[in-house]
Amino acid sequence: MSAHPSQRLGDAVIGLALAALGVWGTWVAQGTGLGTAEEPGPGMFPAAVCVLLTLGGLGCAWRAWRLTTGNEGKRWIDGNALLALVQIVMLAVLFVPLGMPLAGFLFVCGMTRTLGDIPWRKAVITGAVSVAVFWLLFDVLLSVQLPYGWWASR
Amino acid sequence: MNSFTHLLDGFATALSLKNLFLCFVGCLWGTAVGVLPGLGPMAGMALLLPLTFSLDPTGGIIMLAGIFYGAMYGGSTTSILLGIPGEAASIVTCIDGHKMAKKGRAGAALTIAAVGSFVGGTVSILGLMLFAPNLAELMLTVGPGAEAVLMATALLVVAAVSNGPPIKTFTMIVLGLAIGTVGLDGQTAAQRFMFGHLELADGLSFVALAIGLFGLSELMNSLGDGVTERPKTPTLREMVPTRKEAAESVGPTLRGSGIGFVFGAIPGVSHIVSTFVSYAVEKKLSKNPMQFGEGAVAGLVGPETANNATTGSSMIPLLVLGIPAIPSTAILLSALQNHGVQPGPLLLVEHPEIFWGLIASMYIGNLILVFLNLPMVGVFVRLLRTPMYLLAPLVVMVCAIGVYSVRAEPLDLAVMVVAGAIGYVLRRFGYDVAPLLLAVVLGDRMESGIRTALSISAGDYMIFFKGPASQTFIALFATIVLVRIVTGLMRIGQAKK
Repeated sequence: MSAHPSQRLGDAVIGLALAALGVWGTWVAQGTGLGTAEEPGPGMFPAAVCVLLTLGGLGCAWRAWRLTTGNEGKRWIDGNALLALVQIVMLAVLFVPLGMPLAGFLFVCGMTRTLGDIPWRKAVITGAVSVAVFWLLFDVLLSVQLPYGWWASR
Repeated sequence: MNSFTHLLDGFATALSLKNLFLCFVGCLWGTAVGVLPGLGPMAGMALLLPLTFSLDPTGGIIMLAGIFYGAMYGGSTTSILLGIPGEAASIVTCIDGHKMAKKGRAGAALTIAAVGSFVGGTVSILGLMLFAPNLAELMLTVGPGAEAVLMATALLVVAAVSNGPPIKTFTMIVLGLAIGTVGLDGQTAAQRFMFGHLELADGLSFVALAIGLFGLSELMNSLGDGVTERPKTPTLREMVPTRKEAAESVGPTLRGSGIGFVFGAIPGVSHIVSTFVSYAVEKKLSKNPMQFGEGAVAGLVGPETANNATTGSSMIPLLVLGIPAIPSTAILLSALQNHGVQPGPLLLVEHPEIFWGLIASMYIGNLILVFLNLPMVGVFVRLLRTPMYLLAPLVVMVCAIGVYSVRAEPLDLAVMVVAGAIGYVLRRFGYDVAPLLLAVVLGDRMESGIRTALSISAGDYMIFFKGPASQTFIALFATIVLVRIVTGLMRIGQAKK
């Protein structure tokens, strides 16, 4: 038996998760006021689409249940993609507090080192050059507002 | 003022030094993202969307449109040289294009594809120029009830032609509609799904969603499949097709132009469908159908022309109805809306410089692409050799800077990452995320149409069925549902046999 979920199980889990999201959304939307047919309230449209989302999610789960194919194991996420995702999350978290230059440098170093398995020295040079190019392109040439970290505002 | 005078004005706009530069940048960037496997026109446009906010609307849309059709051109290079589609619409090009390359005709295949793309693109722009103004006049008579039905019909068409099981597509559409309701209600200013976070007042950032769902998730997908083949750069002499190859490409180019134009105007995955239809037509008409799959010129040039012929006609629903036919045109819609310009029937009246400037720039861009793609094929081949471990972090950095630059909001970075992760998992399990993004864009107009229509009619739901426009859209809606049911039943019947 595979350690990974099958296509069917994955489909069913996603379907049920979307249905749960729909139920929660319907509950929240009705709280903002459904209104009447003559004067629809702000919650009417969101509640209607969330009811449809619940039905759609249940439909996906039901379809997965009825399928006879797709029993082979399938990872939720590939190893390399997971590695990249973790580092992208770190970049998003550190982008403002550390600033683009430092967060970007750490990110490019980390990604090139872990995905490409290149020596640290090469990774550091790649990181430094990339950040310098980004700074020149976006800050100097295009005047894009970039974060420079908590110490820049002190 | 007639169309010709407007077009001349459009050329005056598009030929200004700044717009010419933006058109060139768009074409160059579009070709690059089209060449790189895993990055299509959608990701390429989403990445540069934030930059357009600092430009005027005409310049911004000229650059984004350049990326759109540039990526269509660029996709053929990877397909021919590596047998890997640079973007989805180039899947069919791989079949015979790569076979030609393996037979030593890579250069000729690239030239034939480029010329076909040029012809297809130009025919498509001509069609856009001829049909769009008349259709826009007709659309000015449509009321809010009919508009809501039109939005629903557009989403149904997307669902009908989308990849994957209909129930999954339906779920993605309603998820997109639900996501689109986050923020302050346009009519009552009530907070919806905001939970006290005022930074969500304008809703979830479309740029963050688009970059996450397409840019990041595509990138994560392509991290698994590295490009191992090292393509060879064709010489100038090899780029010239033989007389026989040139003669064989004339018919398929003309047919591909027609097929691409017609399919491009249908909302959904039109550019992909048109390539398969063109391939099937060429194979059917060929005297040597056995050659298809073995390097047939018609099998390469027909689909490649059709693919590019969709670019102009896919602008018709966007510019005339305000409905993005495909996700790439949803990015164009977002760019215009950010400048306070609403595409639709009034665009030609209120902002003729945008409409005609765009059309003129497309003529120019098509010409730029021919000169860009053929002599610079060596540069793009070198780009193809860039290892993914180097390319991926740079693309992610551009994504992060792009998303942050829109409104300097850290929450948007979180939205981008979450959308990327969710988009990746959804795609892995066969969900097409393109309808989700289209629904996010269309949801607002659909809701506003429904609420306004109900208020006007004092709650009478029959308003959605009144008037010739509503009835036409409902007839179209019913036809699509009926066709889906009949084809579904036929499929079940065949499976039982």
